[in-house]
Amino acid sequence: MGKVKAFLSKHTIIPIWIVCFVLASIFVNGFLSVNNLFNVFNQNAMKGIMAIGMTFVIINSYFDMSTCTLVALSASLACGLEGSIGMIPGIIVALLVGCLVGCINGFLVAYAKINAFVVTLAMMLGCRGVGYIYHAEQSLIPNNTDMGWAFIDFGAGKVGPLSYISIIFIVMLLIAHYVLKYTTHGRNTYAVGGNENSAFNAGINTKLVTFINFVICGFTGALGGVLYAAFSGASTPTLGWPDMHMLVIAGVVLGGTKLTGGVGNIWYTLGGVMLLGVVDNIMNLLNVQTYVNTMITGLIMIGILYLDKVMMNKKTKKANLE
Amino acid sequence: MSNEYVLEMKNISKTFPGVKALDNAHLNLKYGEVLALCGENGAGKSTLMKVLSGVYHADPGSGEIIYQGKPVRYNSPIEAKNDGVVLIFQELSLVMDLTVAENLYLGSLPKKGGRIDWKKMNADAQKVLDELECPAKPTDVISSLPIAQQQMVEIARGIALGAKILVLDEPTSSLTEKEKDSLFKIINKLKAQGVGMVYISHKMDEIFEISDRVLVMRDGKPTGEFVTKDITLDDIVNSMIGRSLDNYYYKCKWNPKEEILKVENLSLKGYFKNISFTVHAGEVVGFYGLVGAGRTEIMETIFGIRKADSGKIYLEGKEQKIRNSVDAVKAKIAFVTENRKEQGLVLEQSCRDNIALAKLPWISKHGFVDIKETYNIYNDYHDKLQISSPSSEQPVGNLSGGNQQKVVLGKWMTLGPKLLILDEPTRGIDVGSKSEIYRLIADMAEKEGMAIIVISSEMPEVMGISNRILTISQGNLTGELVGDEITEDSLMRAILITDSTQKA
Repeated sequence: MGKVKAFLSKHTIIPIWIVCFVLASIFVNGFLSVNNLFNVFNQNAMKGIMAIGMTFVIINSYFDMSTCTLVALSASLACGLEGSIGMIPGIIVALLVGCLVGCINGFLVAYAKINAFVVTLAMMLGCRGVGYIYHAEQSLIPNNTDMGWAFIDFGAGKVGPLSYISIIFIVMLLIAHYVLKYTTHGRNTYAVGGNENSAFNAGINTKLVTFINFVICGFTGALGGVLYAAFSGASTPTLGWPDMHMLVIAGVVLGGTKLTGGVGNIWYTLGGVMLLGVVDNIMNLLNVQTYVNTMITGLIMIGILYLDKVMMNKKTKKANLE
Repeated sequence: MSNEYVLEMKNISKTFPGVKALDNAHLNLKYGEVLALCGENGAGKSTLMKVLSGVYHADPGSGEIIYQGKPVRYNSPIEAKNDGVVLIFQELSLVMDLTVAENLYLGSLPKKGGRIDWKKMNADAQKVLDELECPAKPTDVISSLPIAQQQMVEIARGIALGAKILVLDEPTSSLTEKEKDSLFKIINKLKAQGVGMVYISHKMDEIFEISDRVLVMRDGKPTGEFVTKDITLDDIVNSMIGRSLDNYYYKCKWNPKEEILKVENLSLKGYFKNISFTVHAGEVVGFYGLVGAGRTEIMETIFGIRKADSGKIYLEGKEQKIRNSVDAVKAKIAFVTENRKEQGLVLEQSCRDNIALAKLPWISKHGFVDIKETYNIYNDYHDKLQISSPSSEQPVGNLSGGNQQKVVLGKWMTLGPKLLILDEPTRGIDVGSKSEIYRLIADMAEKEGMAIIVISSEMPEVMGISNRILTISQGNLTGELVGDEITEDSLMRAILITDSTQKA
C-alpha cells in the first residue's frame, strides 16, 4: 500500500487522470464510450507529436515557444509546394525547414547563450510572418496531384478505431522513450537539464546536447504541422493560432516534466496532452462555450500545478526534517 | 625517496591582485596516507588545492607539482580528475535527478550495441558501492538519498575513475556522528588501497582521529609539519596563530550604555543550544567561531529569518516576538549579511537607489518616491562613508567590494538602527577598504551609540575591533572574553572546545 502511495505521489498525473476519468464517466453523458475515447486520442495525436520534441527541450531545462507558428509554416509549405514540386518533396521541405528552425533556436540558445524565451519568441513571430506571407490570406489545399489527394486521404484514414496519425504518434512515443532511456544523448539530456555544471565537468558536450534537442523539437513541430494539414485537408493561415505552443508546453508540464529541467519522461507527456484533450472533450460534451472552455482549461492547469507544488514542498520539508 | 610520495608540491606561490595567497608553499603526500591540512580561513589551504587541480595556476616561474614521479600541470579540474586527482568539495557536484549509477559513470555511460547497458552499469555501480559499504542502491535517485550517502556517491565516483589522490574539503560539516564514522571507515579502506588523501578540516578531534600527518598553514605559508601521533593540540594551535596585529584596526572606546539586546536560552535544534548574552549601546561585540559553528544561525534567529525552538529575545528590556525580517526592521535591527552581492544589493541599480532602498516607504508620498530626497540621502552618506563612486548613478555592481559594503552599511544607517549585526563584514574586501570599514564600525558605536555585533572568522579582525568577544563552538557559547583576557591562545582554545576534546 505504501508503495502504491509513493508511486502515485511521484507520478501525480496518474491520480489526476483517475479522478478526472471517474468524474467524467459518472457525470458526463456520452463520455464513457470507446468511440469517444478513441476520438479524443485521434484528435490530439498531432499535439502529442509536437509535445514529444518539446519534452526533450523541457527536460533539457529550456522551452520552445516557436512550435505553434512552425505548425502553420510547415503545413503551408507542404500544401503549397504540392502543386509545384509534388506532395512528398513538399513534405520533406517542410520537415527540413522545421529542423532548420530548430538549428537556429539551438544555436542561439546553446552557443550564443541567448535566453531561450527571447530566442523562441522571436522565432515564433518570424515563422508566423513567413507563414502569412506564404498563405497570402488563402487556405492552401493540396488537391493538384494524386499524391495530394492521397495525403488528404491519409489524414482521414484509420486502422480500426485508430487513425494513421495516431499510429505515427504511438511509434514516435516508443522511439522517444527509447532515446530518452537507452541512448547516451537521452541520458545526457537529463544530466544537462539537472545540473549543467556537473554534466560539463563529466566531459559531456552540453552545448551539443541542447542544440540537438532544439532540432528534435523543430522536427516534431514541423511534423505535427504537416499532419495537421493532412487531418484537416488544408493549411490555413491561422493554423495553430493563438495558443497551440502553450497547450503543448502545458501538456508536457501537466504530465509532471519539470520546467526546471532534469525530471520527466515521455509517458508523462502522453498523460498530460491527453488530459488536456479529455478536458476539452468534456467541455464539448457539456456544450460549454469555447471561450469559457479556454478559461476553465487555464484554471484547471493552475490548480493542478499548484497542488503539485504544494505536495512537492511538503515532501521536501518532510525529507529535510528527517 | 620520490617513490614514496604520490604527490610533491614545491615552492608554490600564487598572487592575486593585492594579495599573496600562497608564498612558497609545499606539500608532500605519501601513498596510502591521510594528510590533514589545517589553518585559519584564508590561510591558503583551498588555494593550494585549487592550484593542484588546475583551477588556478601557480605564479609564472614558481612551483612544481610532481604526481607519481612526473611533473604535471592541469588546465582544469576535469583533466586532473581524469588523471586520478579528485577533489571533493562541500558542495557536491552530482546531478540530483539521475540515479546513483548514472552519476558514477556520467560522461562515459557503458553501452552495448548502441544502447545504454543499464544492467552492466548497475552491476558495476553495485560493485563500487559494495566496496565502500555504501547502503545506497545503484537505481536510487540522488535527491532521495541523505547527504551522507550523496557524499559517499561522490567519493565512489572518484573511485570509479581510479583516483590516486583524494582531497576532502571539510567532508564532515553536514554529517552526523554515525555518518562520520562510516566515512572514516571508507577513508581507512582507501588508505589500505594506497590512495593518498588530503583532509582539510577545522575539527581537531577528527584530525587526531583520522590523519597520519598534519600540515599547518598560515598566511599562505606552511608553518608546521607534524606526525600526528607525536603531537598535541597545542602544537597545532601554536602553528596556526602567532602573527602580529597591524595597527589598521579601530577599536571604539568601550563605553557601554543601556542594554539593547538580551538573549535568554535561545535554542534551535541542529544549530545552537542555550545561547544567552547581552549587547549594550555603544559597544562592539565580536562573535568568533569557525564557519558552521552556528554564529550566523543565531543572528538569523534574532533577525526573524529562523524561528527558535525555545528561548527569549529582549530589545531594550521588552520581550520581542519577531516573526520575520519586516518585524526586525521595525524593531530597529539591521542585519548586514555575509553575501552582500546576493542578499544585500541590487547590483544593476545605482548607488543612490541602493542606499535609499530601505528608506523608500518613509520618503514616498501616495506611492510616489520623492526622487529629490533620494539624492539628499545619497549625498549625505556618500560624504559620511566616503564612498568612492564616480557618480550617484553608477551601478553598484561596478564598485569595488569595499565600496559595495559601504553602500550596504549606508542603506541600513538610513533607518537609524539601534542594533547592527554584521556577518563577516570584510569578506572579499581589499586591505585598504577593510581598515575604513573598521573605522566606520567604531564610529557607529562611539558616535551614534549603536549596539553592534560583528561575526568574524578572522582572529586578528575580531581581536582588533571588538570590545568584547563571545566564542561559539558547535552551537554552544563557549566563552566570553573582555580586555586582557582576549589573547590568540584563549580564543583559539575556546573555539576548539568540543564535547570530545573537553573530555580529553
